[in-house]
Amino acid sequence: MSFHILVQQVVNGLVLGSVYGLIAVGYTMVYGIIGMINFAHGDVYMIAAYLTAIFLAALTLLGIQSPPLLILLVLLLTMAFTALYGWSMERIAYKPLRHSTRLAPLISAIGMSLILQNYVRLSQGARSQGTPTLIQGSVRLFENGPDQFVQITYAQILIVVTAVIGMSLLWYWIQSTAMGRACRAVQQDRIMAALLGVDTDRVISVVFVLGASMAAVAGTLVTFNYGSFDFFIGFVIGIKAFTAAVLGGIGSLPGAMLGGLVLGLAESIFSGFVNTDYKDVFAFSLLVGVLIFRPSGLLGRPEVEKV
Amino acid sequence: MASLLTVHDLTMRFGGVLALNGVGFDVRRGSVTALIGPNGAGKTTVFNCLTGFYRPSSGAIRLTDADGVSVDLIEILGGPFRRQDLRSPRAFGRRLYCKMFGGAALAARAGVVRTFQNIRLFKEMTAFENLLVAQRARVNNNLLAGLLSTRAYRDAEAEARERAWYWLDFFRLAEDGNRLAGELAYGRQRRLEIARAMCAGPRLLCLDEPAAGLNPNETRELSEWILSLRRGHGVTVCLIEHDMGLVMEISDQVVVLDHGQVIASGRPEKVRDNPVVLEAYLGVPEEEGR
Repeated sequence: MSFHILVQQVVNGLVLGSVYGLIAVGYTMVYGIIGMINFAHGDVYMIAAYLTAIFLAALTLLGIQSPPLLILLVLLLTMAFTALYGWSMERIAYKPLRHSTRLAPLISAIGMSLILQNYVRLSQGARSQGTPTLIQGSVRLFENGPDQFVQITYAQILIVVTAVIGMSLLWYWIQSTAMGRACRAVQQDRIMAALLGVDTDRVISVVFVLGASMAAVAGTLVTFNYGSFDFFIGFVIGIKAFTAAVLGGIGSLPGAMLGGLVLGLAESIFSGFVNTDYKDVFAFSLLVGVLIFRPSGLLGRPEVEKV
Repeated sequence: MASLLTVHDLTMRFGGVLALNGVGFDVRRGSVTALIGPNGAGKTTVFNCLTGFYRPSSGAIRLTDADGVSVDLIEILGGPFRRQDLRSPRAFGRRLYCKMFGGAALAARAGVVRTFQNIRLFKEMTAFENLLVAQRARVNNNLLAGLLSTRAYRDAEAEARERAWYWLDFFRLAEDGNRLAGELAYGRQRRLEIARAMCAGPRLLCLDEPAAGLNPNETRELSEWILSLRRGHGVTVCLIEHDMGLVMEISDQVVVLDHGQVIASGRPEKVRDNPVVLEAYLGVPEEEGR
């Protein structure tokens, strides 16, 4: 077992985990507030990847050359437009079903996922697409010899730093602002909140908007890092992020972040030391193992029977 | 003697069960009205209709403020279209708006706020936060204002905090402000729920069995609080209560329900001596019934 491989895989795992965490936040917040699993959330991530490419091309055409400015503008624009997708999705597919059975919005979410995938396939083509990688360069740590080093690319650093900033802002927003407070109240007792005059529909919309913009951060950063995407990338990463949310305890925001990191690290260390092909098997076995001992996830609280 | 609330011919059907059958009563502005009746009489159902928890099958509930502007609560909850709506585009538009966006939140904004028999606080938030959530009209709910901490946001927030402290003080809960609502003792949770309802700025405060589970001392305090809310804060109170001592002491009007119908209403001492009410509560002895 080599020290360098371990550190390298931990770094890769942190990056992967941050991406999972950013997407898992969307699953967990929506689940917390309306008790449904938004299966179309992974596709929101995919939409963000396409929007990134489109805005990158548009801004370059407009003559903006400086990479930091370009990255910032693309990130903000993608967040705004993906948020719009999240908002419309909720209004079109979930809000009309608010008072029907619990399973109805679930089916509607699967439909929404298919619609988004095929809409992108029809409008953008089924082939894999790419953007030039904007951020080049890397740093090497612990270097002693030609194969003995830990390499961290600047893009990886950007992913982790942005994820940390995004999560901290989200956490601050939930804990300390008026709308975040309303959000927590609706999560605990939606009917009571409505009876006190809180506009619950608006709160639910806001949760979708925030979830989508967090997924947009992930989509943009991963596109900057890898530069390649197709209409189907949302599926696998969506399932993984959902797993992360369940692993951390669905409904819990810190749980989603922790679950993302645990899953990312586990996958990456397993593929570094054992086998790359079976990394997904390992990730899901981990989920099963955790759920046996902690059925409500790492940070989830067990459901308290209402008296 | 202007009435704040007029309930007329209120009917609520659950499938084949007629829970309320033509209930009607008035609540005068600034009065305390008690709703009493045996178990299953439909008291809580009336409350649920008043506060937008249920949408009544038919009838009318009007809330009229001092300037004579009145609000139809059933319309607010998204009541069905009527034939006369077709004649006026404005009425039609309003009906459509309420159908799409109406709901319990609008009833609260119209000024009807309630508490529950089984306390429904936001248990995982502090007592103080519970009171802040209720002040929807005051705080700035803009998505970004909170993050950017704009001046308008901070001013609104400071005002909401001040009001929350005022009500915590009023109900002697100041030392519990930063504790989780779910951790408070039972009596304190009851008080906190009333404080929260007051923070929502009600014109009509509906209390569902506020004295349930309180000891005699606490009940006495409660009756003082209710009277001082009415005197000092211009709130009209409507309550459901089984503690007849409390009902007789504080209410100006008593409405007795049985089997979903109003069987008597009027001043407490008159209702107390009404034979129909005694019969509903105690039943008629077999011999006399014949």
